[in-house]
Amino acid sequence: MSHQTLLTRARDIAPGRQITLKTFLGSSVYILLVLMIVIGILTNPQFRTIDNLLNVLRSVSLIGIAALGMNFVILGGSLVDLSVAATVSVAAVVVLALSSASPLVAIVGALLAGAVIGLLNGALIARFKANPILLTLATTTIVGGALLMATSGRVTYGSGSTLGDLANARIFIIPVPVIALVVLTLICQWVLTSTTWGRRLLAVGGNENAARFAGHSVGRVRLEAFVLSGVFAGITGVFLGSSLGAATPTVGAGYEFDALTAAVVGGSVLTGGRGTAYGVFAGAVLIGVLSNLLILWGAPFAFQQVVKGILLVSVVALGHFLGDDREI
Amino acid sequence: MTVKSETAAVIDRPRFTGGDIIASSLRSGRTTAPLRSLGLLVIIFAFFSIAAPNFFSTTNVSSLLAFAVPAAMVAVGLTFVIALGEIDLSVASVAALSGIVFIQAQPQGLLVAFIATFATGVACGLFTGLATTLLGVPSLVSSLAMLFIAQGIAFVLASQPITGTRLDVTIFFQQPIGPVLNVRILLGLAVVVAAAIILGLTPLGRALYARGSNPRGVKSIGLPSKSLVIGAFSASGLLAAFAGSIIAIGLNSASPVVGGDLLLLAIAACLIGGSRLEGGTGSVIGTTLALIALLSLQSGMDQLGVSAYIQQVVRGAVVLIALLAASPASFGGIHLASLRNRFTRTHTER
Repeated sequence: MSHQTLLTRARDIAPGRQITLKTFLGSSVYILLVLMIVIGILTNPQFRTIDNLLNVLRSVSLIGIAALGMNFVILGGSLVDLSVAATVSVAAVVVLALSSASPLVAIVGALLAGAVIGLLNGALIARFKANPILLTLATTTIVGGALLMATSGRVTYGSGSTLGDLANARIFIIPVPVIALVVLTLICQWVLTSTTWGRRLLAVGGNENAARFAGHSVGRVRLEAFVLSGVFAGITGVFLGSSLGAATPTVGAGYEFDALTAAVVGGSVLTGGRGTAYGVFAGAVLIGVLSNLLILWGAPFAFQQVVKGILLVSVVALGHFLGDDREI
Repeated sequence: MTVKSETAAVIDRPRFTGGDIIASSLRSGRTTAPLRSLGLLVIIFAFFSIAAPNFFSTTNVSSLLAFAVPAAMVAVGLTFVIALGEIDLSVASVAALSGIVFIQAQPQGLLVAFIATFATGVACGLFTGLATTLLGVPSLVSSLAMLFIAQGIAFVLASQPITGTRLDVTIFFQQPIGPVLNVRILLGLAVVVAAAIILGLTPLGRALYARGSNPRGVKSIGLPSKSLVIGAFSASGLLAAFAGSIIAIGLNSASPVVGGDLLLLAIAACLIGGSRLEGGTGSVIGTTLALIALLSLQSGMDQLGVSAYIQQVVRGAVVLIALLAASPASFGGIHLASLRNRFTRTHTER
């Protein structure tokens, strides 16, 4: 009997399996997202056009992809990857610089560059147990400076339009980056809930010591999360560089904080172990919907930053009050 | 009866002997870290004095110190926040916002301008502190939110650089006092000394360190943990605002993007000066010396004609090396904490 209760309880608290009312309420992002969309539809006729909604999705797709990568780092308990800014810039510049060779070479090169930066971060953090905030702040400074040196601070232009066509193409009416974001969200959610590696990552983030006793290599899992974050930032950089056709060496500035915002708004807990890819997707879309509504309502552009800040605090605070057992 | 009251007094106020205090400050690195910063500063000064002919001149040292004043104020505020185990990412944008407020309030009079600036800084700090303590938002997130909000308001107030009306104030702050010092440097010195005394020698400072090393313990012995956090964030906001007004006075102008690298500089100075992000450590003097060391590195490289891009790489590399050397797992950085851990470590901590 008691054995049975234990089993039931274990099933109840297994993350990602059962969506109870409480887990739904705990991720306040969905409530806010629905609320904002309803408000938008009711108050503004321009908001509910298909074109506008696709534009919203398109505008958040790049941040969303970077946030999905950053999410792995957060879930593994490594707090944050601030090197995303430099990684996006590097990938955007590399993809344009290599675009004369062939699109495939350019994309692979850019993603490899992202992976190498992630590997560097992960390896240093695993080996030296350094604080991730400071370490990634240092690497983003170094990599950003190296990129400025390599490009002499000048804009890099792409050659050939294949890449640009690819990034700006639409399948049916849906832009390619949006499709990429949706597909990557589904894959990330599957990885987190249904693969050994995903469960291991959540275990390491949830309780480092327990994971260590269970035989997982904490440093290695976290290193792999950083590599993934680098690759995802690389994908963002590829889309950014190829859709613009030109990139300055600091084109990715701000992406690190935007990605962190999307992940945190999406319900990922900074101490690790709790969070979903769906939440990150919803978080990115919520930021996009809010920005869009502010523009439609005629608020000054800079006001978006203010709203982003208030959103960040209110979502986390709401999650804190609704989710009973969260210890942030 | 007398015995009883004596016991009560002992329990109320544990008396520390000199030996205890020295031992505890050695353990926390509060005494050794400033020495390390000083060593770094001496090395950098010695190197550039030989490599760059004009580096060790009164003019250069004076302008170096004047340049360090706002950054030192930001870094000192951050030292308080890090000492109690939190982080404040918003300092640079709060400084930028305060500079704009200062310049825009100038037509209403200088006193009004200063009051408005300080009120802005304290309000920003209060927001972060209240969100952290009352709303349960981790300070990494709440200060990031404050960064966004300050940035946004700064751009709404002034989308492009604005110029002040009071050139006389700018000139007053550059008034030389003796060969090296001027009003601005003296002001910075006063802030640093006051902060060093508060954090290093008062019960308030000890309470801040205590909150950093053991948040639950502090609550259980009845110290106002939440007020300490709110107070430290307000102090950090106030100092960032002071720094912002000093920058604005120096340039007689302000813009939303001024002081962009203040955050990295301040965090790096805290770290090299002995702060650990886990809390419970750090010293104002160590932070200040480390900050001056970092800025002399920059000034020296400027004099040698090193490009700004290479300087950025060097700056990052210095932070990285300092970080890795301070890590308990590094090869060379053996300090007291790691030695102690080596002997008392249990199998769970391996």
